[in-house]
Amino acid sequence: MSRRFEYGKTGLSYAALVLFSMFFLFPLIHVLLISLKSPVDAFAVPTKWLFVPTFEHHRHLWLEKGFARYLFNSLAIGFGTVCISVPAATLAAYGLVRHGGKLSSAILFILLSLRMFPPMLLVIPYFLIARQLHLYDTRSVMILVMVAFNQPFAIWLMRGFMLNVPKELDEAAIIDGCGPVTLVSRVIVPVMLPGMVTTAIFSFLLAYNDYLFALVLTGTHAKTLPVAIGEYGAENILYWSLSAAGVCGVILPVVVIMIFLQRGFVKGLTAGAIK
Amino acid sequence: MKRVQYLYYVIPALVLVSVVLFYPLGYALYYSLFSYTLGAVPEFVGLRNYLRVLLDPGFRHSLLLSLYFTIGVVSLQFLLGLLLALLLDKIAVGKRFFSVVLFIPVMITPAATGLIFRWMFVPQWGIINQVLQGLSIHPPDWFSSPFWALVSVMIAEVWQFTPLVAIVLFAGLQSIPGESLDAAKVDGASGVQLLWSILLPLLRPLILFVLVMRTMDAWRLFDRIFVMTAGGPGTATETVTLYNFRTTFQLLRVGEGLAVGVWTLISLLGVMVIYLRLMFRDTTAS
Repeated sequence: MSRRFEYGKTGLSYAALVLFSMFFLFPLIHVLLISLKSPVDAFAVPTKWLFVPTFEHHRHLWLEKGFARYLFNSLAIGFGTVCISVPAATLAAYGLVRHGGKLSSAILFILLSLRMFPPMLLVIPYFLIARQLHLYDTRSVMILVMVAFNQPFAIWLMRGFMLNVPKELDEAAIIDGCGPVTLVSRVIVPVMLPGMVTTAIFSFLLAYNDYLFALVLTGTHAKTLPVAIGEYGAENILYWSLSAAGVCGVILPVVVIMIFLQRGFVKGLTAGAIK
Repeated sequence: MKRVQYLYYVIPALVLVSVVLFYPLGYALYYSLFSYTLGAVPEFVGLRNYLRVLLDPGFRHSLLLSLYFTIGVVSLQFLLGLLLALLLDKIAVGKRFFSVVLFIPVMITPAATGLIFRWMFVPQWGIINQVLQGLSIHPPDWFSSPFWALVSVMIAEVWQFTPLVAIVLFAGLQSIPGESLDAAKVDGASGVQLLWSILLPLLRPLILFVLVMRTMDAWRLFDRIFVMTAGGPGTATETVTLYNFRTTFQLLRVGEGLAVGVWTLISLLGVMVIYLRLMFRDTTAS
């Protein structure tokens, strides 16, 4: 479909896109290479592009420095968030779309305005409350906070998908005598599944990518990978290659998700804005 | 099923949001009225924290920095993102491939990209200064000059979230029917005219959406700047959120930190109101 207006040759567009892609991928390739370099190569000027790769940094960091545990914490908090966030958001989106009155518009609007809450304002009460309730430095408190922060976005995302589900579908099921539980499990979940997958991925990323809440709310026990590499990288430039290995570990799950995700992420992302 | 009954499905989400967002918000508003240093007994002072913060030159400095940062970053992201979206729209094969490749930075942990960019900007070994020297440009000392430190955190932000703007605008371009362009082409409109008088007006709701998202996120950005420069050198990159963090968790002045947070919330509400007014004008005009 090259139906667009003419502003230069198509070949030029490809060249420009390739250049842009290199610009956006270069930092990631750079960090991968650093993590595979021996210290001598890592600090060589000019930068060495050909070198004998070593997996020593990765081995040391993941197996001896306990970073595997931080990765586990990050993944556990991510999955925990998904497990609570997605079902709650699916039910809420279903209820709000089918109710469709002034009250549900008001709820949706309040949720949208919650999305602009500054995390920095709430992290202070979280810290104080978590210490009172002895929840400081637990994965549970992180999951709870991430779920709540994610709800507005997740509900709006699911709402975009729900709007495409014909009303007749679930109304017919209700007339046929479906109770609320079967209605959800047999009718709503199957048709909303693609939307739920997209919402799950975005919810996971929100929790997995968090830094501020984990920095304030966790100590040694529930520390997440972003906080751990942030600390480690700050100590000494000589740890360069080691923390580069950590950064690669943070990035890898995201890139894997990206490959599985591909289609539909933009659709979901913009659905709420257009409708 | 009665219509009201549908709202039962919303209860779990509302309970979660109330307990984990509204209760702490109330807590925050309440203690923002206290002189509360961590470890000491809180003492009621009314609105004094809010005033005190406003009179603090450090806070005003951080507001100004956030303003520079947000305006610079969001406008660059918009211009570059629009260019990328047009390029993606133009090509025939590989739209999907390039969208996926370009979207990778958006999804990566900001704290991790902060580390990557810190290494890239490091004076002696950093790859950026090597490239600049290769081009016979005298490289600035990124992290010791207040100006260049701010530029470096801005570059990192532009790198990470320009693709988001591009992909959203690209999705919008794809949904524009070809006929509306063909008609204008028959009338002999040039590329720039098409862009200005047809594409941009059609994309307006999406542009507003993506701009307000980017503005709010840039205004609240904490993790990447904290990891890259920690607000330094001095306070040269200490935006409002970093100022807020230092007040609360390093100076341990909880009451004042909460007041800064509330000021941030108020400024974000302002952005939201402007956005809603623009949207409203949009619907009444058409």
